[in-house]
Amino acid sequence: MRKYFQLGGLFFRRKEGYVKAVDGVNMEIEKGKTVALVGESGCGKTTLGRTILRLIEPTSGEIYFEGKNILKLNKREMMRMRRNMQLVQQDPQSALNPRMTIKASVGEPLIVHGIAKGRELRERVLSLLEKVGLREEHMNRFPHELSGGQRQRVCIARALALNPKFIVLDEPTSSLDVSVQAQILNLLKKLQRELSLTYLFISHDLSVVRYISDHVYVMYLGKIVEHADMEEIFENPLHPYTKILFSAVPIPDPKLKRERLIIKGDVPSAINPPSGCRFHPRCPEAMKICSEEEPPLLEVRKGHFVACHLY
Amino acid sequence: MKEDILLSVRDLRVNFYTYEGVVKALDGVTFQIRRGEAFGLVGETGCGKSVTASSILRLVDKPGKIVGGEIIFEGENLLEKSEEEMRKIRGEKIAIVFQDPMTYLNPVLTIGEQIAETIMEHQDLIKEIRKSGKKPSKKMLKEFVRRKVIDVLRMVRMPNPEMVIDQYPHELSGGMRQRAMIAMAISCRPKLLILDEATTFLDVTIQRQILELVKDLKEKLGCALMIITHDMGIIAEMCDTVAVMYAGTIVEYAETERIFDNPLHPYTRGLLEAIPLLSKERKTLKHIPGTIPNLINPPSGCRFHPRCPEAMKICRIEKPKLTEIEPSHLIACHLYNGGR
Amino acid sequence: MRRLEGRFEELLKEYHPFIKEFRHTLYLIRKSPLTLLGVILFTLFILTAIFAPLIAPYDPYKANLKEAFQPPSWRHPFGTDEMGRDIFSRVVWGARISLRVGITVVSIALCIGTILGGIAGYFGGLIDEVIMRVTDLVLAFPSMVLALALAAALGPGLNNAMLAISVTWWPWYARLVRGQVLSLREAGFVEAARCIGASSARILFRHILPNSFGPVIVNASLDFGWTILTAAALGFLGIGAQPPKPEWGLMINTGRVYFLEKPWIATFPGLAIFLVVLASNLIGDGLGEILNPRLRRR
Repeated sequence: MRKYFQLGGLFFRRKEGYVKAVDGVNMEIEKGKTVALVGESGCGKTTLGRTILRLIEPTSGEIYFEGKNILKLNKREMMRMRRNMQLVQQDPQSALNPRMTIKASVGEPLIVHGIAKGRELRERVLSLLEKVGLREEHMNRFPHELSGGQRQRVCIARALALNPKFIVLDEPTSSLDVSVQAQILNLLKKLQRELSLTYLFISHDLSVVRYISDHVYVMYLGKIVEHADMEEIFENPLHPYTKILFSAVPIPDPKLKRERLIIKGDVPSAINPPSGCRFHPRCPEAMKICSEEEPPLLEVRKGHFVACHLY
Repeated sequence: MKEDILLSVRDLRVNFYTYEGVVKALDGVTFQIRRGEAFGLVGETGCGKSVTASSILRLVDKPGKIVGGEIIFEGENLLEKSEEEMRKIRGEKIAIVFQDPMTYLNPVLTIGEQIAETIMEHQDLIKEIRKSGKKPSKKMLKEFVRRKVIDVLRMVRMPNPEMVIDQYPHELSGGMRQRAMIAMAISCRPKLLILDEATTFLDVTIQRQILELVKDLKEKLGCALMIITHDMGIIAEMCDTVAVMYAGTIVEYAETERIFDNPLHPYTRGLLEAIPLLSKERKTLKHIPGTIPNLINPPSGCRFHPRCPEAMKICRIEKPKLTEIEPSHLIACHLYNGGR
Repeated sequence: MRRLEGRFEELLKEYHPFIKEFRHTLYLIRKSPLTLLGVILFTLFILTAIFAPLIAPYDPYKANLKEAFQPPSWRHPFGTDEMGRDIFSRVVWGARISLRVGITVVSIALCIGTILGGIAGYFGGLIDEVIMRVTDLVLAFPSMVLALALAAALGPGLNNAMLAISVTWWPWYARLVRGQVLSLREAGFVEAARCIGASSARILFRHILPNSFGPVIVNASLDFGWTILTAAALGFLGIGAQPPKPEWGLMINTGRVYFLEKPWIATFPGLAIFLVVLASNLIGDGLGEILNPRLRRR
């Protein structure tokens, strides 16, 4: 049961040109753990999350969920599989149909899968809402009548409706305020404990990742550049990009004067990524080999993988 | 000491008149910004920090209205200025950079044209050319402006300014657009530069670039900064003084180090404890229970009392005044106002 | 009995949010005087159509040559026509015909357009291509000319005219809906629905189409007037409703001959068309603002 999930060599294609949004990514997610996927906008983390849920079909590769390759499932089997894996999106405002009440939104998965209706549906929805800290009075409201945090709770309730084992959390707190963000993070932790859920936590906010995750993958331009257990990667980041990323986060402590690593330039386009190591044009420690050869992802220390020629 | 003060906002009140009722977005906001100081205004969504910024520029749109208070800038009350005078102040004396540059950049004009427009609006270039002993002609003016624009773009460390000047906003990346916005804002060397969540949409590495740039510009231009953000990290790094806002009021106001060392208001404390830290320890996050109040029907007395862990009887009845507890540390809370 | 009451309360609670929305809409309508004017005119029009037999003092078909060409008077408020028929009664009865035309044409066009546009937008690819080329084909003709040609081909008569107008009208809706669907297809809640395994039909009909209805409703209420105008035009040209039907366009046509000496024959039906078209435009514009979600919550 250790291996929960495996992704192999994805090439994702879009109509305009050939965008390698996710390029040759391998990833494993252990049951009951939270794996974080960190990266900046356009690095392909969202695409990867969607692909795992098969909301986007990958160009090539394999995705195993509990030993089954979900890309080989037919429509019917996939429908059943969807009960196991759910999604919580970034912006709860757009994630809820503005013309459906909270009850209808949360109850929809149950209706679609023919699990409950009528009075039973009501009961079920109510217990789901209570699980995420909402009350009966919220059932008959429209999304715009709720605050951002409450809306995100509704989205979590909807994701929980089918009793999934695995949830992709795509920046679930990035549109929320800090005080509310803390509420949601604590809620997610509580739910994970109670329902033994497995999370893929996609985020650009490293402080949040530090708080919630067990294992961290760092992504840059469609590639995994480093991954390790949370403690390890935060104590001992190896890849220059990871280091820069960590040092860029503003720290709420006015006395702390850190050595700032400032990165040059913008993220290059994924349509025409740099040769060799994709990070080399911005890397402060770039060598000659970096522009020529792509570094493989190697285990540098125990359980700590880095794709960089320095190691 | 008094002459040092660049901007002083006193008891500012702004209402929004909506279908559901009157939203008291700002309910007596008071703070000061000294010359050359970096002032931070921190708070959560809907606490009124952006409304404060647009009030200073008198840009509050219908259905909003400034209903009280005063905004003294360089000794003059901005609320008494005519629209004409205000237009001169905007951009020339006070400039603002918003969160989303794409909505404030005109998509059909090049970056250069847009910056040139601000420069020409506020500076008498013909006079300047005459001063240098040359005869002003149209062609010369054009070249002169172009040189100025490139200078400004260099100042914000725009890569390839000669190329960017002829590019359209959509051709630039998010970080470069924000640089262009900053260039526009500083083109007339304002006394006060307001950054309204200017780095919120950017990636951390790009945000870092912009923050360092702003620090440098402040040194170079000697302007005061007003940084509006929800990110305590940015406040800690950038600001000299901070005002913490909650539901349309300032609840705590002090030097940055003081606020982080010794936060006194329960809301400030809650806010600081709710932030997950990148540094070592990982305790469980404390969160402030409940949600931000509805400002149409705000809680009586102290607006924070329904969520406050230390609420007392008086908190429900009386609104605490912003008072100086220790030198230059102001708090609006009954815990410290002898309410015990 | 008490159980029934309880059930009723439950129902009320369930529908409360919808009632609240409706109330809000009413409030917004009240706040915009022009929309209100449109609503009042339109309500009058509908009431006239429904209660035509009660309102009209005379039989609209009954000729009375003795009373032909009477100018407006207390006996005949709008005067009489060349056959001595009471014009007021005919205009009142004409409202029924116009209401029927408006409702039929708009609903046919809306149904066909929404379904085809929805399918084209949602599925994309070849289906989209085929549907959109057909709409292009129809839109390539000026709609009046196409309606004229079709109506002429089908033969004169009100029903054929309505059919002809519907055929020229649906592509507008197809385009409108397709555009809406294209943007909504990427919406978060659509993705969420896909993620729970909802079927394409469910996503299209429960999530996408209800949210694209705003602009469609606006367009429909604007079109309501235009279809009536077009039907009247066909009637005027003699390929729409046939005499002795009290259709407004047809009435203007008969009045045209005597217009200089007896202007009331053509004027009153013309005025009726004008008012209905005006009302539908006012409502359409008003709804455009009211249904705009961005303006709604302010």
